[in-house]
Amino acid sequence: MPEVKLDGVTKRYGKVTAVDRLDLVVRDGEILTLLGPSGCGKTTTLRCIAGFVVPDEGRIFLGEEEVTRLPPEKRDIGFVFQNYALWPHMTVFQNLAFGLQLRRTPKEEIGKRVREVLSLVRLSGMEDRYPRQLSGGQQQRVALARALVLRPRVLLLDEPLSNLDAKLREEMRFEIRELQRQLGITAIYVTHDQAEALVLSDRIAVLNEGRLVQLGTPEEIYQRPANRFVAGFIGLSSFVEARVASVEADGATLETEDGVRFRVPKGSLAEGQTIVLAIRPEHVEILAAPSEELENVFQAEVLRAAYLGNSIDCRLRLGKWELRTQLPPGKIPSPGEKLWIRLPPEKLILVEA
Amino acid sequence: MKGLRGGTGGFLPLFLLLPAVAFILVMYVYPFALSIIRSFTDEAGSLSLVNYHKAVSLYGRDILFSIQVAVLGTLISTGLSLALAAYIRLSDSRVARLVNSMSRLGIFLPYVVVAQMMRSFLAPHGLLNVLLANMGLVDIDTPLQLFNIRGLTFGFLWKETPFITFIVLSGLQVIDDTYIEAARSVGARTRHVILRILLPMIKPTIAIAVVLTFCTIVSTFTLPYMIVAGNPTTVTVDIAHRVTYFGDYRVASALGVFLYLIVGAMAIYYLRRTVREEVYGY
Amino acid sequence: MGTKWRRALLEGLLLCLVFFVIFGPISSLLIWSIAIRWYWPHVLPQEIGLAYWKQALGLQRDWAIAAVSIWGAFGTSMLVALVSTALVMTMAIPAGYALARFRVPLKALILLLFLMPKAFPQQPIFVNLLPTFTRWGLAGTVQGVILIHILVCLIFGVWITTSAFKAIPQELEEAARSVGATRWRTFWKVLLPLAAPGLLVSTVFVFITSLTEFTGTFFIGLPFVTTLPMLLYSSSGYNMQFASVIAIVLLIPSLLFMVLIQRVFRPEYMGGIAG
Repeated sequence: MPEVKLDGVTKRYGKVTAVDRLDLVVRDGEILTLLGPSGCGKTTTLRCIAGFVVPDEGRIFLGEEEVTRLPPEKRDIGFVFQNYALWPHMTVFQNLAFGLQLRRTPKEEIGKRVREVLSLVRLSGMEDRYPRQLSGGQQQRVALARALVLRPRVLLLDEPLSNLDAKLREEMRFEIRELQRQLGITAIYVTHDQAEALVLSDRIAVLNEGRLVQLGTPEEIYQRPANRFVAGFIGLSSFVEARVASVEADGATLETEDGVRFRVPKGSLAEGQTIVLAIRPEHVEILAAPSEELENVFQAEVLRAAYLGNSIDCRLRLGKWELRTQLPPGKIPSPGEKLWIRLPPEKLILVEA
Repeated sequence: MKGLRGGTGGFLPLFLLLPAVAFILVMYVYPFALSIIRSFTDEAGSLSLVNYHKAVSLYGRDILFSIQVAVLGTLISTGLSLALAAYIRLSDSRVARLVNSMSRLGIFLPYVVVAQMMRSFLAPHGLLNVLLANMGLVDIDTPLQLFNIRGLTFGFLWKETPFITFIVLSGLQVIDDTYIEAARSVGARTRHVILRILLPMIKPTIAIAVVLTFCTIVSTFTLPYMIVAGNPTTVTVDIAHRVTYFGDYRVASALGVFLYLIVGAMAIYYLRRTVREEVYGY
Repeated sequence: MGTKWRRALLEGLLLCLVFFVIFGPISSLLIWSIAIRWYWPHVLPQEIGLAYWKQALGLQRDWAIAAVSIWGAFGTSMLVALVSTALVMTMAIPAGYALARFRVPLKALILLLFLMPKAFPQQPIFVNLLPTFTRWGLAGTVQGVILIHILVCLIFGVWITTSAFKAIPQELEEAARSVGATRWRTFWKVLLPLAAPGLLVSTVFVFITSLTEFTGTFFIGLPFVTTLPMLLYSSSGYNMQFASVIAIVLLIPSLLFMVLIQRVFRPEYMGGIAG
């Protein structure tokens, strides 16, 4: 399996730049997710790699071969569409066999390979069904099988799970991940769903407004978001803007304009610098009572709380800032109630303002 | 909310449909039945096949001519339309858009205007021959004679090709691009995309367009009446002759039944398909 | 770049061919309508002028020009088309509403009635109506021609109207009913205004179909009722210029309709016309 390389890829639609000088290397055998809000250029990027869209500038390589202007039918890729795009006039078998027939594969070989890949996606025995006779999840797996049966150089998936219901979607995440590992195929996966990206990626490329914002493993992206956009897009974050009031040997003190003071690890902070604190809900600790010896202990006021079954989604007010947290199930706090919270310094994420 | 969505609404729908249905019963079904009865009746008013004997012996050749024109016209216009529609669907060039809007013209012009157009365009000294003669493609003294099956077929092609193209193209436009891209991604070239994906996906639509075209060509009286000179000619023209020159409604009706038979299988396919779609939704 | 050039060349050829095939016959009409003398095998007429147009439009009267005023036939055509259209739509709108919105008993049979005239040739119908019309004193009268035109147009009227109503989401009517409007009021205040563009297309199409109807008028109306298509037919044998003038007059409404349908275009309407 070759690596996929994008070199300064740019695509404009009229005045809108959908993809802006994108450099990216997808490593051999990894599954990389292009993640971002709608309109961030992730689908355009994928379609450039597939050959459905020809970039205005830049070059695309599959392995050693430059494919920038090669038509899609000559690229040897597998593509899974959001709407599956299973040809409705063909049975499952015919859908899978079509590409093999075009390659003049012998008949027995076609039958063998179709059966093989169908058992891989656990659809053995469905050969003669028409797509409309299958459930959404089954159609999804046929689409996957159709892309895999040709043993493509790279597998491209364009939001393949977004038409499935929530439960099935979660199952399929693991299935796709498993399959990709098992086959060792290089895969590029487009999604706007951060949970999906976190579950199934080796690495995530976060895109915004056509540009690559951050590239890293799920852990890196979640724990060390490069900026406020990434921190807000991946996982939940509450943001607090503050100024570095003082830097000491064992840490730094931040102060917001309304006088709330936080202790944070020193890092490379400089006095007077403005910075944004990103606070994840799971990093807000609830204390039974105020504590003198711990740092960053505050009294916060409950703004509203919503029962979620396994937890309680709670919005707190700290100074003029709103913090979101999750409480264990139990008594639902009523608005106006005061809670003691602690924000462990080492858990706080600092991003550029 | 009774009757709003699929409810029966009592007699209201029947009442609303009554005028239209009554009109069709009196003005269509009655003469339709009459035409069949008349075709089996002799001068004395008794049951007989004499009209059919006459029809076949006098106009047998024309019955074949009608079929020939309809088959030829349908096949050629369908072939041209499929190619044109696929080209317009897959190309985003200005030429494709231009061809598309130009071809619409034929759908909207009525047959009587088309007939006059063809009469002047295809005449022995008409514009087509003028142009061909000046280009040296035909001899001035022996221009192309087109007031026969060739000119008639051309006239039908002129009118029906845009129609089928339009219907087929409407079908093709509904197909999401992803179906085409999916084919490309597994290695299909343009001809595979057209022949294995696009056209098979809209087979029912193509069938309807073909059937309607065939029925239209068989049924049309204006065009052959105005441009075919002498024999052989179409059955529709024979019917008019039979009525206007001989006042012979019985043989005319027998010829009418032949028209019904020519379109028979196709018309029934069309009726069944459309009724099934409207009533059961598939 | 070779393929690009080849493609451009092929597209250019296609464009020329389509252009010639479509506009060749049309320009033949245009040229003939202004040709005073045109001798074989010259590409263009020797003498051109608007004499036939003037004579046809009643602006001049010259015995040397073989054309008559078309206003008489135009008046007959308009009368027939207006009355037919009005009557067709009064029948088609309720019928279309019923087909679009109710579960009609015997629906398959009723649909069959409305489809048969589209599938089977209508000429035998006209022929067999002629003796009946003669007996009733309708043959060769404007009333008889109007009845025939209604027969020809009603089918189109019903189908396009049905699709126009079907194109309107039913929730909009349900919303009106839920705030207390009666079915009658909902029809007038909600459905009819929303379906207006489709009904307009239907009406105009019916009008043009009647205006250009040939076969039925030929059997029922001749020789006493002269509509424009009949006048065109009777002059087409001997007078290319005059016939071309009438053909162009008849072509104009169709072109206007083409523009209209592109404006308020919904594929469903064409479905009513075609499918």
